[in-house]
Amino acid sequence: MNFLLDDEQKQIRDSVRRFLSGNYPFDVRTEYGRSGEPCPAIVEQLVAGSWIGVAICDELGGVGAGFSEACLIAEEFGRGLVVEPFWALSMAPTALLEGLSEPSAQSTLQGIAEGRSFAALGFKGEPQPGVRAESISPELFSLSGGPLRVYGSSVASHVLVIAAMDNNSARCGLFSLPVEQLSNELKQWEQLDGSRVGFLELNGLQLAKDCLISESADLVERYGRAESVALMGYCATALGMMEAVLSHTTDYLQVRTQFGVPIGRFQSLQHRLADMKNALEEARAITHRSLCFVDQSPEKFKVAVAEAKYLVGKSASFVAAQGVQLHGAIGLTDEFLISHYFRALTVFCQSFGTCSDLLQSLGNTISD
Amino acid sequence: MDFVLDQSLDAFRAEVREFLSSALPKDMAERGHRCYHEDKSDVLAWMKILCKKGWSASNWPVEFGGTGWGAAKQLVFEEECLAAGAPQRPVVGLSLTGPVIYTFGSAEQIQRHLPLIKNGETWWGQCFSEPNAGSDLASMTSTATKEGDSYRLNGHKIWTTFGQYADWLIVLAVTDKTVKPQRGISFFLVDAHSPGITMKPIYSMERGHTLNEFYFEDVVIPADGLVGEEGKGWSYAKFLLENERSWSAEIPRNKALLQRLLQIARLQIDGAEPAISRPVFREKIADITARLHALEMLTLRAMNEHESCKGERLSNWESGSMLHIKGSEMQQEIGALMMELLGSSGALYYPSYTQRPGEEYPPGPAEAHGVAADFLYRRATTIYGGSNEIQRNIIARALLGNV
Ligand SMILES: Cc1cc2nc3c(=O)[nH]c(=O)nc-3n(C[C@H](O)[C@H](O)[C@H](O)COP(=O)(O)OP(=O)(O)OC[C@H]3O[C@@H](n4cnc5c(N)ncnc54)[C@H](O)[C@@H]3O)c2cc1C
Repeated sequence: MNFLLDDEQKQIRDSVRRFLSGNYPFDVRTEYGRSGEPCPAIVEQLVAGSWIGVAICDELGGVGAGFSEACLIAEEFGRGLVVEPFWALSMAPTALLEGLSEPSAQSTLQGIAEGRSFAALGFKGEPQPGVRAESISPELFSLSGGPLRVYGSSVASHVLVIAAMDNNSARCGLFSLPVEQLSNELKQWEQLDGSRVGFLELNGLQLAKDCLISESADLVERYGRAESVALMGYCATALGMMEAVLSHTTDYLQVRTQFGVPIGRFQSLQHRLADMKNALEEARAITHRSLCFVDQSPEKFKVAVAEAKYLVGKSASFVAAQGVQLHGAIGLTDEFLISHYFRALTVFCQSFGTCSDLLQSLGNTISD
Repeated sequence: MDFVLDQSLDAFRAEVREFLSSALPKDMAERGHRCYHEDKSDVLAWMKILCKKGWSASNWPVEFGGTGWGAAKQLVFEEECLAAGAPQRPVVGLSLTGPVIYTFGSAEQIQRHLPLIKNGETWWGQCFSEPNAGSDLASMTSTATKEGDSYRLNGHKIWTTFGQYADWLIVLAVTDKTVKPQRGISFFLVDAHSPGITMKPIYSMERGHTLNEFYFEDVVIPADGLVGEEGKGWSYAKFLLENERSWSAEIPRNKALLQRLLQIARLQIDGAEPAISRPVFREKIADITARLHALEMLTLRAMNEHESCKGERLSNWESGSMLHIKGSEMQQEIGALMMELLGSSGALYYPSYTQRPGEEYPPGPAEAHGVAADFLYRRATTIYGGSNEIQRNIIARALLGNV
C-alpha cells in the first residue's frame, strides 16, 4: 500500500485544483446553481482536461488511470463545490461499461471519453421495482418502471438503465436512453445545494432497438459495482468539501476577533477544530479503504463502500455543523460560502442511505 | 420537594385546546405546520384573535393588559399553540420590549407602546448585535450622542430578526465612551421609519429572509425614546435575558418538533417500511423522548425556583445557560433525525409552501415540506441568544470561579 501520490497523480490533482480555483469562483458557482443550467466551462473542461475519461482505458480514448485517480478529481470537485457531479458523470458510467465486450457498449464508453456524449445512471432506490423492457416489434422496445434517480441529469445526453427483458428477471439488458426522448419521463428537481437530480419514470416509453447496448450476463452485478464506485466517488467529493470547510474555518478563527483576541485563542474552539480535523482524516481513511476493494468481489466492495458512506456521512455532518457554528451568524448566510458547503454536505448525507440506514444494513452484515 | 404530577393544569390545557380548535383559522394552521418562517399578516391577525380573548400578552402581568399567568400555565399555552400550528407570536415585542418597558420605562412609554404590542399593531425588531460585536456585545460602537433634549444615533446593527417587518426597534447604543461599556450603554426605543435609517436584507441558507442589517445615520431619537436611565442599558438587557431564561429550553417548540418527527416516522415513504418499526430509529426516538422529559423537568425546576426566589439565588446551577444548551441542541437533533427519516427526499429543495397542490412540488411525501428548510435554519439555535460556547463558558466559570 502506498498513501503518497506519484507525480502523475499529483499532476492530475493540481491541474484540476488550479483550473477550478481560477475558473470557477463562488459567484459563478452560485449563478449556475440557481439557474439549473450546467456551467459551460466545467462541461467543456471535463472533456478538454481529459477528466471524464480518467479511468477509461486508452484504447477507448481515455487516460487509462484508475478509480484512485478519479477519486482525486472527485475530491477537487468537492473542494471547489462544483455543481456538476464528477462521480456520477465519469466514475459511474466508466464502472458500468468498462470491460463489456459488445461494440455498442464500447462505443458508448468511447463516446464518453471523447466528449460525444455524457451518460448518467438511473439509480434505483432499495424497495422500488426496477425497469422492465418488452420487445413490441422488430424495431422497438417498450420500457416501464421507476422512478429512478439520475444524478448529473442536467449535463447528461444519455441515461443508462438496466431493465429486465421480456418479464424475465434473469435476463437483463442495458439501455442507453437519449435524454432528448425523455421530455415527459425525466423531471429535474432542485436539491438543497443547487444541484439537480433527475427523476426518471417510464410508462411504456418506446425506444429503437439500437438503444439496447448490452445483454451481458453479469449486468446486475456490474450495475451494483457501478453504484458502489459512484458512491465511493461521492465520498471522495465529500472529503474535498470537508477539507474546504476546515480550511475556511481555520482561517476564520485567525481573523475574527471578539473580546480583543482572535477567536482561535479560545481553547474550546481549538479543540473543536482539532475534532473536525480528526473526523476528516477518519473519513479519508475509510474512503481509502474502500478503494482497496474495487477489484474484490462486488459484495465485499459493497460493504466496504457502505462503511465508507456511513463514516464519511457521520464525519461530514459534524464537520459541516461545526464549520457553521464556529463562524457564528455569518455562517448561516447565503452570501457566505460556508453555508453552501453545509448544504452540499447535507445533500451527501441524505443520498444513497443516511447514516441510520447504513448502520442498520452494516449491522445486518455482522455474523452472530 | 414534592413530586406529584401536577394535574391542576389539565383543565386549562383542555380549555386552550378547545379555543384553538375554533379560533385558529385552518389555513393559518396549515402554514404553521408546513412553513418555515412566519408570515407577518398571519402573526398579526392571530394576535388580534388572541387579543379579543385576552390571551395575546400571555406573559405580562394583568395590570399591563397581560394574563397574569404563572410560568407553568404560560408553558401549557405555548405548547398547545405550537402543536396546533398557530404562528409564533412576535417575540421581541412581547418578551423583550414589553417587560423592559413595564419594568424600567416611563408611564408614557407604557401607555403609548404596550397596547399596540398587545393588539398586534406594532412589530418590534431587536438591534443589539453589530458586525464586530456579537458574542462580545459590550464592544459595540454604535453611539447615541445627547443633543439638547434628544439623541443622535449613528452606527451599524446586524442580524435583526424580522427587521423587515419592524415598526419600532429596541436599540442598544453607547452614550458614554469614558466609562466601562457595561456602564456606558443605554437602551432606546426607535421608530423604524425615522429618517436616516436604512435596512438591508440578509438571506440565510434555507433561502428565507428573516435577518437584516440596519444602518443608522444621524437618526434623531426624541428624549422619550430613552428607556429608564442613561447608562443602564446593559443591565436592562441582562435583566431581559435573565427574565427569559426559563424559556430558553424551548420546550413547546421541541415538543412540536417531536410530534412532527413521530408523524413522519409513521409514514411509508417510497414503499419502505415505516421508520417507527425499525429499531435503529425507535432507539433514537426513545432517547430523544427521555431527554425531552428530563429537559421539561429542568425547565419546571428553573421556573419554580425563579418564582420562589424573589431575586435571590436559590441553587447553584446556571439554569438559563444549561436550558439554552440542551434545548437548542435538541431542536437540531430532532431536525437531523427528521432528515434521516426522509432520506433522499430530504435532499430536495422545497419552494415556499403555497398550499396550491400541483406539479411544482417535489415528488417526496407532503410531510417533507419545510423539514429541510427548518433543519437548515435551526443551525442558528446554537448561535443566537448567546452561542453555546458562551453558555458553556458561563457554566464553567460558575463552577471554577477565576482560576
Ligand atoms: C438566526 C439569528 C437571529 C438573530 N437575531 C438577532 C436579533 O434579532 N437581534 C440581535 O441583536 N442579534 C441577533 N442575532 C445575533 C446573535 O446574537 C449573534 O449571532 C451571537 O451573539 C453571536 O455573535 P456572532 O454571530 O458575531 O459570532 P461571534 O461572536 O463572532 O462568534 C464566532 C464563534 O466564536 C465563538 N466564540 C466567541 N467568543 C467565544 C469565547 N469567549 N469562548 C469560546 N468561543 C467563543 C462563538 O461561540 C462562535 O462559535 C441573531 C443571530 C442569529 C444566528
